[in-house]
Amino acid sequence: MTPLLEVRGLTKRFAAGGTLARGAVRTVVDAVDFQVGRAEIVALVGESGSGKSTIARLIARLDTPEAGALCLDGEDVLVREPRGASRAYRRRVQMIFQDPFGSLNPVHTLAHHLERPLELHGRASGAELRPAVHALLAQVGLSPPEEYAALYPHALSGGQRQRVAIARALAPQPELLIADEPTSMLDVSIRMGVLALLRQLRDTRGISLLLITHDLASARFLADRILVLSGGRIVEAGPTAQIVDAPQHPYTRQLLAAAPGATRTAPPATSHGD
Amino acid sequence: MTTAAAPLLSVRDLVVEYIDAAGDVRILDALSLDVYPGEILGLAGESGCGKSTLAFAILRLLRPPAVIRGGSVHFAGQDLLAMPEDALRALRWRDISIVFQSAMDALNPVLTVGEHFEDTFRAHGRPAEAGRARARELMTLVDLDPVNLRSFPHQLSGGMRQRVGIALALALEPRLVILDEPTTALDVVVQRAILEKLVSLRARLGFAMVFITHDLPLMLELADRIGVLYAGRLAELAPTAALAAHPGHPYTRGLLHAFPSLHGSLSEVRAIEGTPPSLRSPPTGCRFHPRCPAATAACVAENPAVRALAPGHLVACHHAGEAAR
Repeated sequence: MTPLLEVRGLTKRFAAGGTLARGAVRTVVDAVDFQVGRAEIVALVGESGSGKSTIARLIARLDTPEAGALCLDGEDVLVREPRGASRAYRRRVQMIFQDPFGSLNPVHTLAHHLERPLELHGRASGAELRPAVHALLAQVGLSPPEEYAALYPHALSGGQRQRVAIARALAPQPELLIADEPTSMLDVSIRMGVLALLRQLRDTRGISLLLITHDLASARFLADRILVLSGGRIVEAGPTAQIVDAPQHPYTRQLLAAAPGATRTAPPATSHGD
Repeated sequence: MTTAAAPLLSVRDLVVEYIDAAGDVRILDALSLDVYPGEILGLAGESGCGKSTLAFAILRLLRPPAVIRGGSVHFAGQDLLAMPEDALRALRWRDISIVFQSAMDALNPVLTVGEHFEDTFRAHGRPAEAGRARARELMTLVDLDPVNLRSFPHQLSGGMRQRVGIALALALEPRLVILDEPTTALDVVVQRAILEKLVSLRARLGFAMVFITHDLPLMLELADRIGVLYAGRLAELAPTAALAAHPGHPYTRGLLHAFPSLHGSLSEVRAIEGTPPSLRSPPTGCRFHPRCPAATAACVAENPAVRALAPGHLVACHHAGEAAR
């Protein structure tokens, strides 16, 4: 079966900074190949500077690669739409950004944030908008939706804002969500709620997810497969259990050893007796 | 750590408020804790729980609208809140230094790294000549090439800048170093290297650390004792092993289960329901009660006092230690 998303030889270069390095280029994403299947969660894991956010931006088509193929349902969209993504592509591929404080507009209500993509992508209009907005809010756990719809972003916590960002990404009814460090700016006690929501969207609606993270523990919780990225290249890829329990590449081992709690056993299971 | 020794730092009933036209907001509410010589005390809590405010309050670095309303802070027997400003200025950095979360913001962009060291030594009346040699020694201590003394902050990576921040904090051989989320902005591999460095430096130089972070798994590895703050109050304070094995506060239990781990069952992992309260209108009684799975009428009515669950294990929960909860 054709995978939902297939990336082949994806390459992105940036001009290196500084006056002495004028004309120099740095290859940030270096001939990367991978696939994301339907209803599959794939985590792209690496340190800062490994190129993982650039890959997210290339797939979301916020940036254009120098080389490679980006196939949705087997068709290379870089060939079909070389000058930028069509609305049809954006309808199918949506992105959730790291910073829920920067990604919402402070002067608009939550209803406004959700009505726009619903209308733009032809998912609802006129009298359908209100119930469609409420359904989206309820779906991401913001209830009662009637109350939340009228709020402005400043009235929400970081976790609630990230839920709005997820609702907005869901509005066009996409097939693939790209989430770039979706919980790294959230308070620790609510991170798990957002991760669980993403998993639930896959389980109940069959949405595919490309999770960009530096946190192997989150990847372990959510992903079916993990791709380990270093210096713009995928150095190891495999099912989650295999990567976490039997890493082959020295870089993967280093990442695992560096993770907080790597040397510690899990908290006692018995004490949570509520 | 020897709890038999006199505490190096002793905070008692510290109250900090933000002055606000709509009514003052209490950021720290009667917070008490001790730091013993040479120990690593971890302070864990979410954004807005008051952990950074505490760090600034200890050194009297709070700026309006934040003001200290009550309580005391004693360092090696001296009352820091009553100390004249010039005496306090001499004590800061010489006895208590601080490493900030963002080394980029903490360093002056128009000064070289070397000039930061010179500035530090000059401000505390140390001779320039000895200072230069000491700066080279300090750079080596944090695994940086002394050649970087000629660099400007923007020429260094985030990890290198944070190492400079640590070297500067250790410049005058303080007895206490406060670290406010020192590795939060760094990725895991660099974070690991810097933490290992800090632990080995502590072993060599014997300073105590107050390590502030929201990352409880990190704290469990690093700290001798851990304090958990919630909404401006101390929820629990215990030796690390006791806190991990027998958490007394439901919030601590929630936090211990709120992180996915690299080992063990994933089904045990769950978020704590609800969100941290607004300090503008905090819940009555125990501030955790709206999110607490075990809350009772007493929790809504009355703020639980901090009490000892076991020697050295403090907890502020009406129901801590009750069997079969």
